[in-house]
Amino acid sequence: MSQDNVGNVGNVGNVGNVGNVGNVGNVGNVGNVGNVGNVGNVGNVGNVGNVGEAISSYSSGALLSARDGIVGTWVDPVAAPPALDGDDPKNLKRWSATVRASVFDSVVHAKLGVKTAQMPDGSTGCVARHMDPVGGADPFADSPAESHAIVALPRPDITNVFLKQLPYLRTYADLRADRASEIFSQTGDILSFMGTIGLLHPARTRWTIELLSLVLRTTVTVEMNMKNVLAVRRPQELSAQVQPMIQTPPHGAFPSGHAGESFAVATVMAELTKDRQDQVYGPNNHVWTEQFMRQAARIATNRVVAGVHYPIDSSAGQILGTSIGLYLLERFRAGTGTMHGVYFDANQCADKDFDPRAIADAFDAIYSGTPNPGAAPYVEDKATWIMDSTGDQMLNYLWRQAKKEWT
Amino acid sequence: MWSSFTLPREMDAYRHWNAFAQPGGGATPDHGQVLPLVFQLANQGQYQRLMNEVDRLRGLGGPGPYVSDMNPNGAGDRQVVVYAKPDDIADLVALRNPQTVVIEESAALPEAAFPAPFNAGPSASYPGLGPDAVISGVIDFGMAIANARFRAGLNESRIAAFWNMNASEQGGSVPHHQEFLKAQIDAGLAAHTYNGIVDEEAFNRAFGLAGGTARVQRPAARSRTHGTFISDLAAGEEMGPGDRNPIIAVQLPAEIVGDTYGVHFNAVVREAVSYIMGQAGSLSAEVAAAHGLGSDFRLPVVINISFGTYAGRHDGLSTLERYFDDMIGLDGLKAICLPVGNGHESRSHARYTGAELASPQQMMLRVQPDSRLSEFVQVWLPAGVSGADLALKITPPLGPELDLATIVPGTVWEWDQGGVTARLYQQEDVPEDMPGEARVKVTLALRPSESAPTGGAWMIRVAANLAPEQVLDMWVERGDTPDGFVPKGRQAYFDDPEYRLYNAIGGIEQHDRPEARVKRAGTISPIATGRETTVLASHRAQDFKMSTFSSAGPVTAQVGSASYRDGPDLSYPSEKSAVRDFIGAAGSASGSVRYYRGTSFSSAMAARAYVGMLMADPSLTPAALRTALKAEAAAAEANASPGTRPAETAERMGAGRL
Repeated sequence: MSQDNVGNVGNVGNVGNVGNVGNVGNVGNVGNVGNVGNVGNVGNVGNVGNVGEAISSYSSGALLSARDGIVGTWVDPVAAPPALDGDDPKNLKRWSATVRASVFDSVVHAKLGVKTAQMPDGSTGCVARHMDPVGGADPFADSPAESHAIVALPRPDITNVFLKQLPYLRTYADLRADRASEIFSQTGDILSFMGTIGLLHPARTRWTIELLSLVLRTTVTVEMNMKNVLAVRRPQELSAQVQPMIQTPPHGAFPSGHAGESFAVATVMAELTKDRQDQVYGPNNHVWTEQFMRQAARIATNRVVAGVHYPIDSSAGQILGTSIGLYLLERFRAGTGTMHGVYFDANQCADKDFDPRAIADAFDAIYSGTPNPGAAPYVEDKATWIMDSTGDQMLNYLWRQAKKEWT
Repeated sequence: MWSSFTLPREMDAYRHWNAFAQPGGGATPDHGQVLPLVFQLANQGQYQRLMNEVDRLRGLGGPGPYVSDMNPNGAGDRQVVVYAKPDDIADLVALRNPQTVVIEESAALPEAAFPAPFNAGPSASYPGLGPDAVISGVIDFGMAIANARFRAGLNESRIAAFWNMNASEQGGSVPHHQEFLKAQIDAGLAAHTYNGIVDEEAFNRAFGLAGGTARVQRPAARSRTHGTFISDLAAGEEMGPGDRNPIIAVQLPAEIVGDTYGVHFNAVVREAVSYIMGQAGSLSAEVAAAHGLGSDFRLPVVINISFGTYAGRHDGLSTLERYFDDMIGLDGLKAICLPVGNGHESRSHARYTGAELASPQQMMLRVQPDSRLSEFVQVWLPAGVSGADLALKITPPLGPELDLATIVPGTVWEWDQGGVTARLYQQEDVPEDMPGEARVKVTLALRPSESAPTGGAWMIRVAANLAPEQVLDMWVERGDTPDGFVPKGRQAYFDDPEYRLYNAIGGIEQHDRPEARVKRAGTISPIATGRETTVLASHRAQDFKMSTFSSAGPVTAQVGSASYRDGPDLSYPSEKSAVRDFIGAAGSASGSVRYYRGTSFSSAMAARAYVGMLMADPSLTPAALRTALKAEAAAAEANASPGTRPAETAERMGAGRL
């Protein structure tokens, strides 16, 4: 707020500006792109508590006049209260959810980048990489950053791949009437569909919702960058007869954002509900994981039914989303763990339908080391590396708070 | 202008029409098509003669005819379907011997669209079946065979055999195979079980029942499917241990189900029945061997066929009805359940008495625009009346009149307006071995109104020399789009100013007026007028009013035989009430419930009732079964509290409402 506004007490309209301090906290929403913006808003419940916002702009003038009335002459404090610990995750609960969102975004994206690179198939694709360290002990010295691959997508050829995918849109369109209500809901809301499998509620699981919002924002940021690099035309541009039943979103088709986001959330929620699953179903029956995966696959497929994606976009999305989900889980743990850099050899899927089971089996095989005959051959393990996320204490705080909500 | 040509007697009007009216059909009929010839053979010698001829034709080079013999060990089922290429047709037809070898020609099918038929494949096997098991046969479309309602255990199907005729351009990871036996289905269920649940979507894709890029409809993908609903009503059970009744299912091809005028129907339905009985025989042999029973032991079979059309003889003597009548009672087949039809309000039937026809009568036929199916109207004279006694004048909405003072069977009149637009086929329909039941049949065939000037009001003027009590019937063939299909046909109908659509208080009128020639009476499906089948009507559970759509008898009487049915046999409720009109049963995905109504579902309910009766007493004959179920319905009528159900005629409800 500017000095000028404070001075113009008599100008009722300007006094109102003082009361708008709370709006500064909403900067966090700028980072929310597209669908995720709705989710971010759930974390803004805290804004209601901001002083000045709940009170009308007229009554904000009341604070000025009341102070004038009671403040009296200045009294010097003799000592400062103890300083807050710096760089302490415990401070996070002092801030608002939107402030925390900015913190987590900054922490995540400091080490997560997307770069254009030539892929094994010769195309110019993109790879998401983890970068570490972001500087050494000296804040001013130059320092090399090592980086590792997380997930890479090629740029499939429009004629040899996407044109061959088109016939699937004809068949999937048969299901439009069946899936219509899901498709319309899912244009803006994925979490409700995941939340119906594991309980999600702004009061009961507020930390989990913050966590999942972070997962979603991260996935969206990475995926939008990749969509921009790969610049794949939507099915509607290849055929006059696709005639999608919802507005085609204003970004490239490959990878599918819905698929990426759904599988990222499913991956993280599977981890959150692991203990509950063991208690309820025993250690060998992964029913919760199964339902999350099925729901993610259905959300992805619904976009093909709707006519805004090719099935191969869902495959790319699952591979991207699962990788981001696993990556974030490692960062959340603030320890060391093995990560695999995965490549989607999309040309192998040129005329194939989306097969979420095979892709999930491929990730299982890669991460467990046990070969799986059902594993998709087009999900290739290209890099094995150790992630040291012991420095990610802020993220770890969020993870621990969320985990506690699942006991 | 109309021009005429002659047609061989045995040529079927629909088949002949389809050769020209198919897209791409032109000067060379049957090009790129196979023609199903249904051979009804009287003895082994004839069977051998047919096979010898087939071998000879194959030896001439080229693939030759396909032979499909689904039930080689069937006692009475001596039907073989031979799919003939155009070059082979003449040679095969030459085998016809009117007294003993009957060939029925079904409509030609595009070769690529019809799955290559095969001889009786591997025998069905269901270890552990008891000798008191009853087999449910279902012939339908849209069957989610992985549904838990058809499983005895997580990975144990109750489906002993499934023939998916809708299997061209299959896709899926199961090797190309249109028939799935229990062992294969069980293996598929196991392979697609994850964390204790069968992934039915993945199963359906692997088995070619959903997904893929085929141009063929993939019905199991939808959440509500007719075949699944029917199978659940007829044979669905909670998944779990207990006495198990096996299911043998056949899924018809999408093209045939979608063309609701039923012209392709005969061959595939016969094959389906044959297949079910062949596999039932295998199961029976397996049970007999396991329990030390004689080689003539047969498990009882109840088959449900929930399809129907509008136009036909309606006297029980169509070839398909005679086939049903012949098969029921043989090899353990105890019943075939059929819906009476949903055409009560279709305005598809017009009837004139001889007294009325003393002077010419005029009927308007309204053909809807934008229809992609050919339209057909059939005019039937009673047996014993010559075509010379019938005069017809056909006036198209935009085209030349055809004014015929007599009808000459064997002659076809054709109106060509930049292509064949309409034809009038004059024929005589002679049931096999029953010359006394020969009837003159005139078929008006119209090109689809989407692409030909056939949409609009046609006038049909009829005059006939009949005895006063004789009747002339006209039926508009069914031509709508069935549920779940891309819009294709739009139902044509008779428009009679005396016909009332609504009653005095604004409800749907259910009764015929004597002043109207268009009748609700006689809308019974023309494949449901036979002697041995069980035909089901539909009513509402809440107030026992007949469903407005439930078709009605009477049937047309045969010359040489006493009447054996007034209409349906009895009625089951496929509706709840006027407001909440649907009943619930299995949707495609396990655990889901969907809603439907129609006489199709009444038929399936009767099939289930029969299975229950046969479990208690497998020795019941087909007649005893029908009698018992009808007696139950009659008792329900007699014992109903006064005022709880409105009076109804036998033509609508049969013996009564259960």
